[in-house]
Amino acid sequence: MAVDKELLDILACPKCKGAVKLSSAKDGLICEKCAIKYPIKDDIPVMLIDEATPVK
Amino acid sequence: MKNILWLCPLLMMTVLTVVFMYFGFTLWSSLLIAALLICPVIILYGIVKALRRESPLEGMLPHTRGMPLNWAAPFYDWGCRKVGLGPRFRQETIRQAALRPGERVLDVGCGTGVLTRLAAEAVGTSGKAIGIDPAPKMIVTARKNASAERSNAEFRLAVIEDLPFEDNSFDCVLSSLMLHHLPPDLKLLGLGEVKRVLRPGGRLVLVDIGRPESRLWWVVVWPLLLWSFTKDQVSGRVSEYFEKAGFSKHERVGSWVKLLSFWFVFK
Repeated sequence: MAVDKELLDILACPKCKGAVKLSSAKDGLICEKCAIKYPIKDDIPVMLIDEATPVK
Repeated sequence: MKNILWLCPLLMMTVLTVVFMYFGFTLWSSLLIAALLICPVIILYGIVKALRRESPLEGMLPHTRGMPLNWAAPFYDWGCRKVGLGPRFRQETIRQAALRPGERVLDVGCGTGVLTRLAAEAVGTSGKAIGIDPAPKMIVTARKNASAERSNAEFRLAVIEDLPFEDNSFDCVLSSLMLHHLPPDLKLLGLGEVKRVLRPGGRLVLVDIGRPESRLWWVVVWPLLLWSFTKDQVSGRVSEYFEKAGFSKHERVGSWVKLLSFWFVFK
C-alpha cells in the first residue's frame, strides 16, 4: 500500500488533529491519542470519524 | 432508493400490458408478451450487476450535513462538460491559482478529481496534490481516472468539517463548486478548517456561484435565493464568510460566464 512518507507526515486524525501512523498490518491509520483506527479500503485511507474502529 | 428498484419491472409490465390490451389483445396474451419483452432487460441488468466489482469503499457514505454527490459519480464529468464546465473552466481555475512546482495543494470536494489531476501536473513531482471528497463513488472514480492517466494525485475520503491534515500543511487549497453543497454554518466550519490546514500566507482559491453579473441570469437563478445553501452566495455575501472564518484578506479576481466568481483568499 502506497501511503508515502511525506503524505503520512501531514495526515492527521480528523478528531484530535494529532498525528496518525500506519498500522503494522498496513490496513489502517492509527491515532494513538484517540485509540482509534481509520481503515484503508481499496488503497484509499478513509479519514471519517464515523468509520473509525477502536483499537485495544 | 435501492429497495424499491424491483418495482420498476412490475411498473413496466403493467404499462406494457395495458398498451397491448388497448390494441385488442386479451389480458393473458398481453401479460405474456409484456413478460417476454421485459425478460432480456432483467437478465441484462443481472449480468451487469454480477460483473461489476463493487469497491468496499462504496458503502461508506459519511454522515455530513453537506450534500455529497455520490449518485452522480458515473456521469458527473459528462454533465459538467454539457453545462460548459469542461476542461477550459478547470484550466482557468488552475491559472487563477498560479501553482508553482513544489507546492502542496489540497482540493476540497474534488469529485472525480479533474482539478486535482491538473493541480498535480502543475506542482510536478516535487509537489503534492491531494483531493478529498465525502462521496465514496466519486473518490473511487477519481482514483481510477488518476491511475489511468498516471497522475500523482492522491485521494482521501474525508469531510470538510473534519479535515484529516495537520495545521499549516498546505500552500494552496482549491475549492471548485463545493461551497454551495454546504449549509451556512457548515460553510463557516469548513472554511475554518481550510484556514487551519493552510500555512501562514497560504491561499485559498475558491470558485462558486456568486452574485450574477447579468440581469438575464436572475431569470434562471432567483429560486436559489429560497435555498439556505445558496441564498448568501447569490445575494453576494460570500465575503462575509471569509471574514467570519478569520481569513486576513480576500479578493474577487474573476468570473465565469457572469455567474461563477473566482475568489483569492489569504490566511
